[in-house]
Amino acid sequence: MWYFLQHYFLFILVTFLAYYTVRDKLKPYVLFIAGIFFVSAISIKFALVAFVFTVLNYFFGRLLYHNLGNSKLKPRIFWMIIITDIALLAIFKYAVFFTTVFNVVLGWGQTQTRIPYLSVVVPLGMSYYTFQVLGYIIRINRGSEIAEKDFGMFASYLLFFPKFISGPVERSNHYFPQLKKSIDLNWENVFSGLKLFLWGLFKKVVIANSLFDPLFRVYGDIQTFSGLPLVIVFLFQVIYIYNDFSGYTDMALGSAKIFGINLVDNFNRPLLARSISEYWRRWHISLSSWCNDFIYNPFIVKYRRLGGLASIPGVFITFFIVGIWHGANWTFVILGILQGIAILYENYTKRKRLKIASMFHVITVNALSRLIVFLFMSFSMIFFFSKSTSDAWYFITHLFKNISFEYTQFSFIYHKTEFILALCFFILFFIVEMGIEKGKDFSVFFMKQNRWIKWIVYLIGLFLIHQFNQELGVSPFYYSRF
Amino acid sequence: METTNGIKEKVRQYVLETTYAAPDTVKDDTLIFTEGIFDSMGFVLLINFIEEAFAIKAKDSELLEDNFESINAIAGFVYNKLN
Repeated sequence: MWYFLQHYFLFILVTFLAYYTVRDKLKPYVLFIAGIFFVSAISIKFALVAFVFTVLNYFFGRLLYHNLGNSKLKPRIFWMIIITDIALLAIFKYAVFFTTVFNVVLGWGQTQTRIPYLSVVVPLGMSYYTFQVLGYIIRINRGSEIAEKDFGMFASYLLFFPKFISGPVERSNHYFPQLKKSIDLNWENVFSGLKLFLWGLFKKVVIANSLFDPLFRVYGDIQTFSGLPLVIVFLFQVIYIYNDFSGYTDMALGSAKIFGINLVDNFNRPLLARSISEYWRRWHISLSSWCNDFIYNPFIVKYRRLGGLASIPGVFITFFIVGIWHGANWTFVILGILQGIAILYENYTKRKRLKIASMFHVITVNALSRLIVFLFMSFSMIFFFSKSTSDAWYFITHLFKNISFEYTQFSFIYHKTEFILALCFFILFFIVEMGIEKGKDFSVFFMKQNRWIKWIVYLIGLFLIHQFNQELGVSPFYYSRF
Repeated sequence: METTNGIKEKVRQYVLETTYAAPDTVKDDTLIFTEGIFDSMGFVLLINFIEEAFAIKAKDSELLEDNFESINAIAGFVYNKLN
């Protein structure tokens, strides 16, 4: 990991020097070139796909914008762009799924393959930049945005390296205005960006990596486990994915801040949500708000004559898309359906539930609501991590089978000390989040401390990152696979 | 003729009745969707209420959540439509 970090910081340093040396008009070009270089270092092919996609959509945006006044051509151009972009993503992301379906339909149960299976690797970041560009095109079509003239500006929006791997799904109307203003070197931004990066790294390496190993040992060979190991995994899988993804996001936001750019945050203390609807307003916010604005709301507005009934297919279609955005697997479809059912249940029982809740103390209601949300999301995560629906079904049916507390039941956790420490750090982190929720921000208190105390904390953080990394190695960012 | 304050009051009553929120939490500038007082499920009902209560017809392209983010925004939208 230190090898990666050394190269990453060297790359940031070179980009940083170029970025703050050139005049404002050229800054987007520095970010665009840095983005291409960053992706090329991972794979030249991925960089080529991203570049072609960027050029194509730059011209698409301009073409649509120039034809906004043409009522005949405008919808045709708009749908041509939308279909082309979705088809490009589908070819890469769902090729295997489509060939399987075709063979099942054409073969009618025969084992012989009718068409060859397409084994295509999904280009890194493609789901993220496709959704970003779709939002941009829809906004142009609505007349809410002017198609970007400056190619460097547009290219830097799609290829900005901090958010390239796993988002956030940045909105063009949030990104462009920041880069169009004069950005001067601000050391406060640089240091707060570095601190945020360090905090993200801590969450990723110390907490998420410690939980990664036992989690994937179980999901990798699920048929050999039952009872306690499954219960343990059931309880910490949400904690793992939250720290892995929010750790990555903090690193992305921190890197962007060094360049004076504030990306949208993806998380707002989701584990403190008191309902599933609230959870989705706090979790992967950039994706869920994108789906809300560009799928759910246009759908219910179109069918608003149906009244509240319009929201039923609206919710299911939206969560179906959220589900398959993760990949072409039935597990993700079920994951989406579960969220849809929960949200509709919450909506239609709100009055009754509030009546019952009013009989208890608010602290009890909040604690119980949060526990229910946590358990529901833990249940949903079975479908998120399972390789197939049969694996998920096995997990559910063997969750409480043969429960015993023998030492051997914990043997799937190889690094027990790190595992326990990671959970302790998470509890501390959770307490801090509870404080922020109540308006007591621990970071404000921390920043008021003596400089030496702060540096000691940073050094302890770095030491722990180093030690955990030595012991556990590196696991990939989980969301980079989407 | 509806005044802005009259529009605000009608909308506030509707929001309070349908969301069961405490009256002191719904101010004119409270971001009702961001703060979670109103969720997306209620958005369509809010639109239908506004169209019926003020006898206005909105175009699909005008019905963006941003235009309904607060009681102030809704009142502004309705007032412009009426005038």
